[in-house]
Amino acid sequence: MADIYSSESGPKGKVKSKLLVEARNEVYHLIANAGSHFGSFIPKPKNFKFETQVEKEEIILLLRRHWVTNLRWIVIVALLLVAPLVLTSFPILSFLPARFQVMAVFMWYLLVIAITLEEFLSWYFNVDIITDERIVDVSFVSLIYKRISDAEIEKIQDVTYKQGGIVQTMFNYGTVYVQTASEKPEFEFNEVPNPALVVKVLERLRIEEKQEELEGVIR
Amino acid sequence: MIENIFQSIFHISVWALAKGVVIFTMVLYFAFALVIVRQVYMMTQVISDKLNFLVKILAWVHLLFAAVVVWIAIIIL
Repeated sequence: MADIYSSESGPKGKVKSKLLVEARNEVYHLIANAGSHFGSFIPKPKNFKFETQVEKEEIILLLRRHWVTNLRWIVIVALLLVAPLVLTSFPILSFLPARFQVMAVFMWYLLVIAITLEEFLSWYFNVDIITDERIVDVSFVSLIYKRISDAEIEKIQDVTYKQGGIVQTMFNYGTVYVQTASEKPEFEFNEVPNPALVVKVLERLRIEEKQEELEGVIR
Repeated sequence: MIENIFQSIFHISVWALAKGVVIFTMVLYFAFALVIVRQVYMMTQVISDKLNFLVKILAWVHLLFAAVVVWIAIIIL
């Protein structure tokens, strides 16, 4: 009893019981040992903010697609980069005047740069965020369409993950499915590193939310 | 041979037409590069990260490169 009511001030300035502090520390401990994944799995990111973040909302995890998923387009881009060298052996553009051949090479490299930029931007800006209050899915589809969905932790009903295939097993990444009672019924964290750990973190945060509810902690 | 037939029908050189098409395509690409710059600014408003500055520079360099290629197309073709 004494443990429950001995309290300290949390990151939001609200009074937190020892149980709540322990639950949060357990979350920190889980993510602290997750290792680095080249920007795909960032525990407690520094200097990172998102548009709908409220004051004192703490980001627990920042997730992007596993870096391995980028290898596909990186290999394609590498092949496209060396493709014009083939022209020296197989002069398929020889019917064109020299100035048009030069332009063709320029246009080719512009196309390669465009593919690279789009793929990189898509990876870098499509993020899934787990905060101490909610989960947020930031999606950019094509060039001009953005969608930001979020659901409060207490509205999470079920969390599962799927991991299949040799590559996903080798590099330990998969898709996390979060069923919620919010406007968006299902969130998908696609091809994120450590899916089992992400599920664990969400479970711990749900327990923490339930504890807060029991203790009547005011947000 | 084909060039001559084309010229006799349309009274324009096939390469002049090709030049027009290439320059038009490059101008379209320049517009696309502008959209990418706009897109990057929109994305960085949604997500603020320490690499945002670098991403913006990349988008501007890409736009500059697209402009240079339009200029090259006009000059050399």
